[in-house]
Amino acid sequence: MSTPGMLTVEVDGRSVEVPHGTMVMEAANRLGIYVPHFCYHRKLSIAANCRMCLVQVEKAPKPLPACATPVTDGMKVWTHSDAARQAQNGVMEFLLINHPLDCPICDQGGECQLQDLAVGYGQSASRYGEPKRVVMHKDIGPLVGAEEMTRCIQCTRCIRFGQEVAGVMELGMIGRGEHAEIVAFVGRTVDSELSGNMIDLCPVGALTSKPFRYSARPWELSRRKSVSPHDGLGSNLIVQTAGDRVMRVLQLENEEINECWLSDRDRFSYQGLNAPDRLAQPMIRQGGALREVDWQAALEETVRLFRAVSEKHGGAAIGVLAGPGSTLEELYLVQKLARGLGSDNVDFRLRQWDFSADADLAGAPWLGMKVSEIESLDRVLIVGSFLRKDQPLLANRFRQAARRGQQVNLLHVAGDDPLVRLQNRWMVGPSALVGALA
Amino acid sequence: MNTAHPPFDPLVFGPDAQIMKGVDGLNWRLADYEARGGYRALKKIFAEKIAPDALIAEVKKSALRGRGGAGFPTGLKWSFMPRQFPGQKYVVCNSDEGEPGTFKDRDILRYNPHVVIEGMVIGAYAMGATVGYNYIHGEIWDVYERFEEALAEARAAGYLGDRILGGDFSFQLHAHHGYGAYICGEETALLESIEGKKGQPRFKPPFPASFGLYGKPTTVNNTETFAAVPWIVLNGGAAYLDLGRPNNGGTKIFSMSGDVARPGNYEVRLGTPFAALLEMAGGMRGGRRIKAVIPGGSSMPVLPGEVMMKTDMDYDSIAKAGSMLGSGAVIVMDETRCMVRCLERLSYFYFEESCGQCTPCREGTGWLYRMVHRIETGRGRTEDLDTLVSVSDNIAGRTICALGDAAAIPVKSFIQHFREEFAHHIEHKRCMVGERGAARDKAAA
Ligand SMILES: Cc1cc2nc3c(=O)[nH]c(=O)nc-3n(C[C@H](O)[C@H](O)[C@H](O)COP(=O)(O)O)c2cc1C
Ligand code: SF4
Ligand code: FES
Repeated sequence: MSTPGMLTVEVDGRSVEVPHGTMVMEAANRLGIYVPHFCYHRKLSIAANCRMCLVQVEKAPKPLPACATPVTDGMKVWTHSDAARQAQNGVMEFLLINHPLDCPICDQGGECQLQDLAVGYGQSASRYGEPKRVVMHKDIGPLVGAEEMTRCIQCTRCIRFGQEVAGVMELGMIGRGEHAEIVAFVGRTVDSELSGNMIDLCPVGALTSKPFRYSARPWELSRRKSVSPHDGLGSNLIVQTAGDRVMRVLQLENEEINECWLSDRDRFSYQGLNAPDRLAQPMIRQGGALREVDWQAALEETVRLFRAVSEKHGGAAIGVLAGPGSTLEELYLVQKLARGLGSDNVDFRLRQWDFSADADLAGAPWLGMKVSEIESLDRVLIVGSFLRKDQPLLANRFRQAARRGQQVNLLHVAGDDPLVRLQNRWMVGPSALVGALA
Repeated sequence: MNTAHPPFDPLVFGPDAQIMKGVDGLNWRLADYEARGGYRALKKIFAEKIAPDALIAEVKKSALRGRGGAGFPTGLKWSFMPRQFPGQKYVVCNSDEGEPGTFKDRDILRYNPHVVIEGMVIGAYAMGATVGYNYIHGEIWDVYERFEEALAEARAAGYLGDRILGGDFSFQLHAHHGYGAYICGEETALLESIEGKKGQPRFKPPFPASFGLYGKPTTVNNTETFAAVPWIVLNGGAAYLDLGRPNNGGTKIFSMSGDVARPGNYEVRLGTPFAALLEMAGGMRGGRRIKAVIPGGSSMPVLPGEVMMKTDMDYDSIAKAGSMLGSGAVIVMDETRCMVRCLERLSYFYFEESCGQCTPCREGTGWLYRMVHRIETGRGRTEDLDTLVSVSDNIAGRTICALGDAAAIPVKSFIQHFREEFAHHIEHKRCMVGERGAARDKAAA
């Protein structure tokens, strides 16, 4: 009855065909059916530990976790039947008995998966009258706050993220049973260049953004879509503002580019915008001293100076250097301005010394393919890149691809570890790099 | 470190003993084992060139069921191992023995370690595994050390290692000790632990036969299960089956504990009446009346004494009576035992031993214990009993491993059979029975 190689499954009375190996959770998602969950995340391995996604499956004597139950042909699943609801409600009760329910002072309030699902699956009063668990807070570095670990529901998303995406295990679980808690290694902090994603992944307010902590409620902020200026990748962002002030930056999902991740650089550098020593007013140097002026005065002064040069020496005497982190649109405007002044001298390569290969280049140098396509390459040679620092999310693409069999090779001038499984690694002195390539 | 081994009463194993036949507490070495006919089964296999499939068929015929707790048919389990697998396959022996009341594997390993080694070599040969581990509970260090010695003996004699008995089959067996966590007895947690990870159960499927140790096909069997295998090979599956009852082949070692006159291990034919087993253990201590029995280790349902006195000790009979044979740990409680106190003790164990991975067990075991503890300490509330049952229902069958069920089952069965004692405790804030109850009555007066 199914297409060859496909399985047919019925979820809540609606049929869908899925390939072998699909889990019930994904099959339900394809039908637009939401199954409540905490530990499941499509980019992470399956842990099946929260048990929130229990559903009723035909002929199964017990409710089964949708996230970890593979679809079989002809399977019938009910995600909201009495049996399923009973199991889900039971799990929700367990999750809440030791949860502090401090939502009014919790940074996660308003964007908390536990809070949201408790509305649908929880009771208004608790049957639990025993003492509640308290878990000590931890200092795991300046970015990710682990200040209220009592809120943790032990879903292990943060741990799996470290192991599987960031490529380095920096958080783990110690203790058993009720004493289980998430910790960093003794005396260590979380230093991955992707660490901020743990904040997004944490379904409750256990891991929060330290810079953002207690500064605003999510529903007070407005959202603007944006693109990261920090590397060539162009990660998609949501910039959240209160009035004119940028309060925080979140990922905007784009499977082609940053997937659902963001590097810490992209996520936390907004703090520079609010830094007290930031240049916020135009200034003019007069008699050796800088003087704050308004924009009108500054622009008039600029025009005056440009005009003086071009009248005396011609437009070609003007050169324009643009920051390489500028967007395409900004760079376009800069060159337009320069040409308007009669100059063709525009460049953004502020740190390049040797331009002898210019003649061989046609057009702008670029990756040559979509970011998402690099995962389908069979073999890769990376030359001279501190990949994790230069392109944290590109490094993750290679990390995932290498796990699926891509052969990644690295020719580098330093023993920098990209946390990618490498097929070969060559280390040469900087002066020998070209020779090694030849 | 070599700890002294406790004194030993060979009689306790009973007249029908097969695994422990001829064992006197001192004769554990290879030469003794050979003198008892040890390693003859292995020699027979190689001399008669018995094929692996024929061995598995024989074990199936014997109706040997797993002695670790679930009673799963061993031959069937062995047949799940992929026959033509190109990579490494493993057999693992589960000697973690953490279930309260169970102390038989410890004695098998201590007094007759070679029978386990021989059983494992045969199992490995039948399933085509070339590497094996025996995972030994971490709190019986002397047993672990002795097993290492026994391994060295077996290797030196050519029963283990490369080209066993000069033939084509090689099998490397290693001892591995845990650190005493109950959860490491759950087979997938045990595998994680051998791999050097935290002992936490894996979600199944996939089962160990397809994804086991280091992701390779693996069969995990209990110590006593492996120990039964040499006898089956020597005497045939049919003879083993005849020792017991249909579908319940062989003998079984029961760990008798609690209020019996002579606690200890007794190896009897499956199907032996409980009354006869109790008699072997010297009857009730102090001649007191039997009140309750947990017939299969602390995670199995408790049954009233009078039900047990009419029940036979085999998987199917005990199941019919409303409990399970489990690991064969028989905990006997007499009329002076307060059932609330007993349950409190058990609930504390499961609360303490939950691995904390999945929500219902991590949160629920603490909730159960705290409620029972409140009742026991005179702070119970009327609604507690219903809450206990409903919390148990919310744990059972919803967890990654069976520890969740193991925590829920005692609670439900104790309340089912002894509800009035719990109600009495809640209402009167003291025990209904026993010396504690009496002592408190006196103190209150
Ligand atoms: C929480 C838990 C603890 C267990 N502890 C043990 C144990 O100590 N020894 C054991 O043999 N089996 C134990 N088991 C059962 C094992 O998972 C497994 O079923 C058994 O070792 C299989 O061997 P068998 O087929 O020979 O019985 C435990 C199971 C659970 C869920
Ligand atoms: S049932 Fe308990 S012991 Fe088993 S995996 Fe879940 S938390 Fe761990
Ligand atoms: S989402 Fe399935 S168990 Fe957590």
